Amino acid sequence: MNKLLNQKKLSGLGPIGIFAASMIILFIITPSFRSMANFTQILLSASVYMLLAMGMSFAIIIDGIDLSAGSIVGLTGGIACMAMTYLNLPVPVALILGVLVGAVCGLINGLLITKLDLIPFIATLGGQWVYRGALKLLNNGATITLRGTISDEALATLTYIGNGKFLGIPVPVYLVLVMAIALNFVLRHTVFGRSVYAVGSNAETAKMSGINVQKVKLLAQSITGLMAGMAGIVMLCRMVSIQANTGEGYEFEGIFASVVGGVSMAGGEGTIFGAVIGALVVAVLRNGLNLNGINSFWQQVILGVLVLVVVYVDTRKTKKKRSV
Amino acid sequence: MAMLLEMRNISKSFPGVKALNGFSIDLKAGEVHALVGENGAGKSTLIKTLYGIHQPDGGEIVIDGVPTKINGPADALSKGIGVVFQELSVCPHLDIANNIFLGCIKNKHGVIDDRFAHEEAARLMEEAVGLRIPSDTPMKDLSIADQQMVEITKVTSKGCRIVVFDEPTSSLTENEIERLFKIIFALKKKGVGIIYISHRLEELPVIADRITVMRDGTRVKTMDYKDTNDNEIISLMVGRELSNIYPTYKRTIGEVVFEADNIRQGTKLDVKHLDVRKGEILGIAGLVGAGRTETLRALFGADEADEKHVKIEGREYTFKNPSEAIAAGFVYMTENRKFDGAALGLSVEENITMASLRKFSKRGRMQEAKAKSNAQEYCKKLNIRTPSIDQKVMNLSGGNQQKVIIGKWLTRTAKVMVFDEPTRGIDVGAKYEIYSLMNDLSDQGIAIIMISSDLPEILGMSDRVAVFKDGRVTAVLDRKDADSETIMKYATGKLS
Repeated sequence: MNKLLNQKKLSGLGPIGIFAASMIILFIITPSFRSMANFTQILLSASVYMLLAMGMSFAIIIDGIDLSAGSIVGLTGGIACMAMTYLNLPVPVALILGVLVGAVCGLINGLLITKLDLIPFIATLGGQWVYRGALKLLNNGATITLRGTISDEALATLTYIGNGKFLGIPVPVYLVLVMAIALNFVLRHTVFGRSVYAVGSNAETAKMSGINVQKVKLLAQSITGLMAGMAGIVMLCRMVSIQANTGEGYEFEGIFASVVGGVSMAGGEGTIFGAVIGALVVAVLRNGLNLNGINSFWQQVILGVLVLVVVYVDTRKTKKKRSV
Repeated sequence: MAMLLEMRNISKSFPGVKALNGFSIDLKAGEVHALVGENGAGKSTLIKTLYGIHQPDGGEIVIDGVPTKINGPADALSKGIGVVFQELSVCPHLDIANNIFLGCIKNKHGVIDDRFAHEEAARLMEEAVGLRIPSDTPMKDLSIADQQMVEITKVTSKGCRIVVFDEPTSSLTENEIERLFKIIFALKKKGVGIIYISHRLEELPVIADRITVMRDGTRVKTMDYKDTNDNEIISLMVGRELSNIYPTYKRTIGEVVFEADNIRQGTKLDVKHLDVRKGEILGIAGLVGAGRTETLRALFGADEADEKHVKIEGREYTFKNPSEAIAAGFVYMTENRKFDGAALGLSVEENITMASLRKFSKRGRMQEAKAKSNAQEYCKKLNIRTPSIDQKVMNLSGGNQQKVIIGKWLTRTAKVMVFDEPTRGIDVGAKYEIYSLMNDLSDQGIAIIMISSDLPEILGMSDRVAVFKDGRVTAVLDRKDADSETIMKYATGKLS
């Protein structure tokens, strides 16, 4: 019994363990790592990925995926941008509109999966092209920028949201914090959250237990889209412009972070906390490797190996448990 | 004369569990050696050790008097050891021929002679099991019984002299069992030694020459079958005396609670009428594929039906999905624990709570303390053996998994409960507990529908028996008019 408890604690410690280890090692070997300025930089650069990873974990826990998340980031940023420049919508309205567009994209993914019975991989792969194409159509593939087209006051608000600090901490980090608390609550303490785990673990059992599997899938995929939308508007606020390729490949950042954070690709397992830590681990390692002058090609190799190791250790653990 | 196979003092441990603890068994050529034991006694580990999937920590495996190390399934097959697994290890999308030759298909520089393979497969099937099915039929289109026949063909075609049958009859009907036994007798005649694992003691008199009882990874006793009897075997298995596996019970039966009329689904189902009364157990008998599960799933709203009329306590319902049925007090305990019964990756508590999320929440928010204490209560009441309610269900034994599922449904207040093959693949002790529990439920006035392929179970538990054949009800018998032969007559249509 003690052994089991320990095992449980250990598996919970996995992502935190990697996080702590990389922090400690970098702290010791890299002097430039140990500054408050550097830490806030890490948090800021990780914030978009953390938002994406939180949303992605809903899709993955339910045994789905969202390969269109990166395109949603670009499209929602682009639409929010156009809403301010062409429709002259006030900043908050435009930003909320952007987030809602993300949720709608997720809802469309969910409808393709539930109503047309497409497998999530294919449904969202199609979505990836459709949403990316839609962004390019918005401005004929040219960069959409806010600079010089909206009032200085509005621009200042956006830059504050994207790059400003409150009490020394970047503003997007507060958004991450609020969303993490909210989504963690949804996943761990609500009927919907329970249903997400049930459907992800065994959809047929969930159905026979009276859970509306289609509805749960639809909602989970919508949350993934909504969070990608939120990542999109943070991108917009940070860059004050959206390019045709903004957010390209970001879905993999989200998947990567979730997996490092212990979300199981087989579904039914994972936490919001894990996804956030996963994104942080990636950001810390990138930062540390940069500071140590390791070029970006090597960084990619190293992070790829990290995922393989994490997944390998995880599958070994489950296999051992199952063979008993 | 040297034994065909001896396993001497085999030990095998997993983290936290000693699965085999100095277990020994031997096997002569041309005999059927039955191996019985409760779930968790170590039978699966033993087979896996013999088949080379596990390496023993201690002890030795001796074949024809020669100590042998078995390095894996391929090695086991080459040494003449074959296993027909309980949960068949078939590739459902591949056809019969490709399943028979899986891993050893004849080829020339990697190119397969497809026509030869199919002809050979058809020949082997007919020779080994006397079945003529086109060898390009995908496995998923075959019944479980026929899939098993393909597995047997696969094992015998490799010239195995030692064949293990792991619970071969657990999903077969009486006729199919008879066919299987004929094949086993034929194997015996050829000098094949057979280790036969089963929970169904009633079939051993027909088949077993010797019997070994296993408990907690050790051998309790090996006997000639003719020198023993069921009571002795059961008490050796569980380590205590059990007077009767069906608890005697006097039921009080009330008015009709559940009525279903005109259930139709394409050409497959056409059930005119079914009803169950308060406190009654209605047994549903029939061959596999007779449409028993399909009918109840359609009533429950899990599958579509062209037409159905359901009445619970006089009120009419349509049940478009399971949640509507559950809300009306109609619950369904499914037959396949792994496919749709339990969410194996989730904890005991999460499984028990799963069907009652509304009951344990307020405005969408879970009340964890309530859910936890409910789970704890059912673990105690149902005697679920688990280190804690946070344990994942996959780590429990089959009988305990089944009890978790029962706990899930007892958490709901139900008027009508369907038990679909409630004791398949679980041991005698756990069966007894589940039967007692069903009796308690009927005592509380719940109407129970029990689908079972186990005739003694149908006869031991039911007040009335509805017999299915080809998606139709061919007879509804009172307990006093029902016996194995009558039921089989209606189930097979062989009314003489």
